[in-house]
Amino acid sequence: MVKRAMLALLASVGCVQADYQCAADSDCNVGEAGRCELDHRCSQFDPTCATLRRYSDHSGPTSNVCFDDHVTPQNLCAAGQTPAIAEGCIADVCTTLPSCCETGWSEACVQQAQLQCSNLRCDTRIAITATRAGKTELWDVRFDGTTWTGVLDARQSVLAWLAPAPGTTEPQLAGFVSGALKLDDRALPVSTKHSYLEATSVDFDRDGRATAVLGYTESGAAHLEVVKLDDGTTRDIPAAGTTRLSWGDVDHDPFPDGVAAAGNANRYELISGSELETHLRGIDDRVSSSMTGSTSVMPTPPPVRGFDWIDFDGDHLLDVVAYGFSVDLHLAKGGAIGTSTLIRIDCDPPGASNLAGCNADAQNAQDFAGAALPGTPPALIVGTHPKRALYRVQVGGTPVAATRFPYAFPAEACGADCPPIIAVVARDLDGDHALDVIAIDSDLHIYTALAKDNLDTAALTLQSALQLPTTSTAFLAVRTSVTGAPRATP
Amino acid sequence: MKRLVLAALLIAAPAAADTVDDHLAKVRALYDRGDFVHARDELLAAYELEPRPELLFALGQVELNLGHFDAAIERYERFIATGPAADQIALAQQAIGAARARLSEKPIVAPPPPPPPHRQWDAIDTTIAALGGATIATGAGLMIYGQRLGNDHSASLAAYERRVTRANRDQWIGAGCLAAGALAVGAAVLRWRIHLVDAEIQPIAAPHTAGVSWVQRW
Repeated sequence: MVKRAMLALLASVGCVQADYQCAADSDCNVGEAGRCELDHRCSQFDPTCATLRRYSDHSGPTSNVCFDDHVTPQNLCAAGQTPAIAEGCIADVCTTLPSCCETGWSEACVQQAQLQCSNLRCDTRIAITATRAGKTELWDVRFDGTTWTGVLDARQSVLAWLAPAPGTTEPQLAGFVSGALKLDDRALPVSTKHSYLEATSVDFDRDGRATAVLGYTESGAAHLEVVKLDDGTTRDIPAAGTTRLSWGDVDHDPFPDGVAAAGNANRYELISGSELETHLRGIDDRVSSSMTGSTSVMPTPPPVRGFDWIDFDGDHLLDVVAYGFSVDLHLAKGGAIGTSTLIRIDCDPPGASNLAGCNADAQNAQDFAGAALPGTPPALIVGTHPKRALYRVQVGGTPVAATRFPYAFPAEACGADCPPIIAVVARDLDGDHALDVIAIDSDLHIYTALAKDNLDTAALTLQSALQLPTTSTAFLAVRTSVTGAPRATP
Repeated sequence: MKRLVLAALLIAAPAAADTVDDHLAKVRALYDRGDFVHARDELLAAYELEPRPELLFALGQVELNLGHFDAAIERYERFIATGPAADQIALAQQAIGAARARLSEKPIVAPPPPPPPHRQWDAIDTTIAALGGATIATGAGLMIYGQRLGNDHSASLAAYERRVTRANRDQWIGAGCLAAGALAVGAAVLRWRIHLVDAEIQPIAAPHTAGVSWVQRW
């Protein structure tokens, strides 16, 4: 009895196992730029760590260990998550695209996972923000492997899929209502003075927290707003580009970078994450480019339609493609993606050669939509505007040339006047580990081209998938935000 | 000399009867073996048969050898009262003197065996153990206080760091106190275990000397 009491006393008093639990960044006031991490332990700035952060003393077993937010994603079908741990098929994905395990789980990573992970089958969810003068419609479009559905969303502007919260599988559908970013189950207050244009998920600070980066303008000035979805805290970052925001890797450091259009124009900015003097993350967006087309006779070029990230040249680095007045492919060469382009596609039909000789009116009218189609060889899916046409464009050779293969549309009553394709998405719809093509026209008619039905590039065909019951037609722009969740059925 | 006197008396004694002689023969044999008790019995039996004066002298000798000095003196005086010869009276009186001298001697009291050594928990042990116990209690208190201090996660990391530093210091001191207290208690127990004492007052009684002695052994 006495012996037990003595042992209990010794066990209870032991040495102090210092394990401080913080609740807020302000608790972490030791070292430089203290931060309270998700596990309630403090970290501080340390330039020798990949994430530039090291756990502080008194952090239990993680004391003085470099902070690392790598996780095994619960949902490989959703982009915008923290970098993945290279295990299982993710290791294959990260061999192809190291940034998936080093920078963040981006759209390009989802596509690679669908190609390389034999057990992965995703449903497909596309949040559509369709705009025309004085009109915005938000649609929640889904394909469960069998059936397409489309539901008009009641939110007011910008419908987007955000990544699942850490440790969960369900992506979160978000959209703006007056004074709030409304998620599925809650609303985060946002400023009513801001005109919000974008909502994206990205592990911008590499802190592993659920983070949204919103793009907005206020009095003509563009900003990015970093929102921590777990506690609603926000911070603003002045930025030149805030629309069509897309995340990938520009400079090959451990922090995600992006690309965004500058307003409703043809200029776009490369957004490189950078460490500010305060050791908060900021952006360096001094590198910009413009889709000027091959001629510049048009006084007001059409705006950027979108961006894509793809390893086009097989160097395992993400390259970026911009779609709009032309299709510009920037390769990751050297330290970072720059303004020089590997190839520029223009004209109708789209091509990369003899651009000076193409019809100037046709050239000036172009506002391409598109999507990258990774594979062997990689390709671009390019939709023309204003005349409806969709092409698979394969780029290669020396000198670099673009070879196009047209898609045949199903017979429709509109004939030659059918509306153009203004949004394109590439995802594996049917779970055969080949990327399929989803094309959306300006009347919100959705077409699909399954890879298994289009093995012959000389006879590519589209099938009608779903006509959204919109009351409007002739939308000028369709912004797609794509995600998914694993599905059990093949 | 006394044996010679007894032998002379026995030899000189006339044989009054067979039975008296038989007894006297036994007396001689018993006397030679030192069996004075049976020798006395045989002499008394002979004296019953025939009360010869010299038998009283022989009885006095036997009583003297048995240490019955008063009885010996009484036998010798009865022998003198029978009016023997002058040399025999002198012998009897010499024997009486010897008996009286022995009577005046006091017996030597044998000292009792010393008690077995035993352990003794004394006041010093109690003091050492009490101090040790108090030190252990202080050490345990410091350890528990340090532990609680270290488990207090309130306020900022800097404040926590200060608390942990203090907690570690307190726990080291506490550990030192625990060790010192345990040593003290152990020392008290050890002192008690090896502190063997047989201290007591012992009387001493011997011819020509008397007193007490104080004996203590570690």
